[in-house]
Amino acid sequence: MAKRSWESEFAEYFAARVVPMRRLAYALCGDWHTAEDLVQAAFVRLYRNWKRVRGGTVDAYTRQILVNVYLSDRRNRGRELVMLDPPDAPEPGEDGSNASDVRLDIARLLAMLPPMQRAAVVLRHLEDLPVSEVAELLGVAEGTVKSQTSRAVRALRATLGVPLRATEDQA
Amino acid sequence: MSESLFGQALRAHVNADEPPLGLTAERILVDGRRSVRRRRIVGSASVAAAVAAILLGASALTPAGSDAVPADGAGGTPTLADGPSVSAQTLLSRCPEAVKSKPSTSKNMDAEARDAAVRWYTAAAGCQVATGMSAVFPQAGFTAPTVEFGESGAPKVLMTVTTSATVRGRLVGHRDLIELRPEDETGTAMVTAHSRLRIVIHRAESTRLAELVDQCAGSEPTSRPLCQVREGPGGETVLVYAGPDDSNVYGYTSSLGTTAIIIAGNTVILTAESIVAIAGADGALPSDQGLRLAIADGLFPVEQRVAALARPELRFF
Repeated sequence: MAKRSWESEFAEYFAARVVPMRRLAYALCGDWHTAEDLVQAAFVRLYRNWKRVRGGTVDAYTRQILVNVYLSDRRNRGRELVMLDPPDAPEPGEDGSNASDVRLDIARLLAMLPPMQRAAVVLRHLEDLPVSEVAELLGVAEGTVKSQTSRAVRALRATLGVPLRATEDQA
Repeated sequence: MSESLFGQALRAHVNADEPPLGLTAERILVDGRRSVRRRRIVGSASVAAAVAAILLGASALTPAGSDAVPADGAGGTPTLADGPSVSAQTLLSRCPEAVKSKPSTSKNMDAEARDAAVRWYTAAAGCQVATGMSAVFPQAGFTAPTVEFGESGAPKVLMTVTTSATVRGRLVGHRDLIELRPEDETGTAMVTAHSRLRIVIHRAESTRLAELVDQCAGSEPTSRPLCQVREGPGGETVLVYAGPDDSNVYGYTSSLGTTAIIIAGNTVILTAESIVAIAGADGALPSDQGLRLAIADGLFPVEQRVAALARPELRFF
């Protein structure tokens, strides 16, 4: 009975968080199928540790597992899977082109980034985590997170042909 | 572009073309329980133990034509599947039951109506999945389908399929849970097989599919990946994406060779040759095991894949 109770609690948490976690995973790996693999692995690990971590920090813990699974997966693959092309049906923006162009470039840019830098960019700008939290999660210095995310944004600007402005380079 | 605009663009990127979710809480609970059991048995596994587990997992798969497929509900050779294994032949023997008229289900159905519905849906889903998947994976192993009913009385059929293949002299495979929601108009079911082939089956709206066909038909010779519209053996629309490695089609990365999408009604069947996944004896994910093998050569020509998958039995929607 007790097991059923905490499993119900776990299932409720899964239902509430699986979609955003899958989006985070997709931003990290660039492939929906691999994203589901990563999320599945993360939630199975979370299940093992649920009784210990449930409570206020569970979101951070799940995110940590997901990022670890992603980085580990990248290290262990003999062959890197990267998304070179954008999804097949980019929606045109209201002006007919801009939004889809940006999406295309975002996809291309993310695919070019090394896994650690990609994780830093995604956690900082998709998850809106503070620099200190991203640094702790990735086990790197705050300065590293700042420089990596800043470099990625600058690269995208260059790709889009947007002039650089020094004030925007500060993370 | 400011940092906030960058964030907005990133969010737009991950929200676009999001496919249906293939994961369910039930599946995670099953995998989680198995993972806990496995950990209790092996404790803190050494590298050697992990390798042994992988080899055990490979050998636990069910070779074609052998009697290693356990008898229904009996013990015997363990498989990666949950619950009692059932042979394809047994599932197929229940096909006549599926021909009978479909019983109606409702929120307040009585026990007799419920039993009749369970019988029909297990027979129909088992017949459909066994026929379709056996055509692609002759070595596939199955668990007996189970049926659950949602609050509205809508049925959901669950069954596990193990697929396997011999790669570099080693039998490797993958286990996946098939979740069919035949009455769900929004369509959330997905089937995936990792061994050699990636197969994703889900429901899509007609307008979305029409867009996809138009885009393929209008693709330029220089497009990456190059797309061609073909006709399947049963009159299905087949989109063949011949692109470079790692092309992205329909939100999925094709790591090797050619991706094909078969469109039959509202059913989309996507197939691509895939990284081979070696599942452990506990069915742990390949990423969890940290082991994957890339196949250097194409194994299933696209024509063969389309012929195998363009089957009425796989038109789940």
